[in-house]
Amino acid sequence: MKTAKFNKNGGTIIAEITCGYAQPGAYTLLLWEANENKIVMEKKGNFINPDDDSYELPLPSKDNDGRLVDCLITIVITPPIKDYQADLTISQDENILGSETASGQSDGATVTVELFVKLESQ
Amino acid sequence: MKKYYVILLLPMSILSNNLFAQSNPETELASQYRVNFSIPDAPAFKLLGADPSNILKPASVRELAIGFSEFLGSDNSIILTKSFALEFSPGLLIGGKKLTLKNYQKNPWMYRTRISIATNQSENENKATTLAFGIRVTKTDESDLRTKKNYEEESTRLAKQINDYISIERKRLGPTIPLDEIKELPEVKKEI
Repeated sequence: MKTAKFNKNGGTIIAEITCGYAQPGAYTLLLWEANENKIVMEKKGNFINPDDDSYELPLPSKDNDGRLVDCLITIVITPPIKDYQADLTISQDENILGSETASGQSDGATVTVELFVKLESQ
Repeated sequence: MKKYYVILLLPMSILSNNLFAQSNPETELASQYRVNFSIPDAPAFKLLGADPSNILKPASVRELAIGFSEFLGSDNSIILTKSFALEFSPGLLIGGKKLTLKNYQKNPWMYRTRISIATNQSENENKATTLAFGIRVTKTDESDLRTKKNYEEESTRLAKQINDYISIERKRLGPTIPLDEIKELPEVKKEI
């Protein structure tokens, strides 16, 4: 699992989900409370329009210390391209703090992947 | 000394699309066959006139496809290939990993464009090797699902449905259970 170290006094933390190889799909973004099975934020989206796939995490930013960003992504493998790639990128104040990627090829109709990034203040 | 010939094929599919655009509008099904089959795979191979039975041709629009033939000599030793084919989509090769569906839809022909390179050694006594380059530009492709709004919506709906089933269990079980275990749950397996 990747860790994104953020500035606790900095601006809003952003989580962005992207899907490559022009594959359609949908996702669920979950923000888990630190060391708890409690969801702080939940967002759903798809890859029809990439302009609405960035989400602001709750403020103040320091509250996100120890929280886990979890993104469940289901990609529809559209022939003839069998490749897929999904990325979860965490940024703050226009700086990328960390990212997680799942990629590969599939002969199946769909692929579901899950990306985790842990948030840590510095 | 070996002789080399180089052949360059211009974007013939653009030409063929325009030529066939005058066909009977009533034959809609036939027009779809036209789009699917009028353009040769790996044009460079066509130029060489190589026998398809002994050359592996790249299949469909793939990011990168390589075909080799006749790797083995008569004594089963590995020999240099007499025929070689390389076909790729430059658009997908360079920017595929970050290519969004929306960007694809803006200029789909860019990502359908394929460049092919092929060599073939003649069987006659001079053993000349012929090298050919081809470019295939598919301006219109009725079989391209990515440009169909209906497919985009239906596939997104399907993906959301699957994702929802899995996320319900994820929320119930917490973030520590591996995804593969969730996929194997009977209630999830049944739905997806």
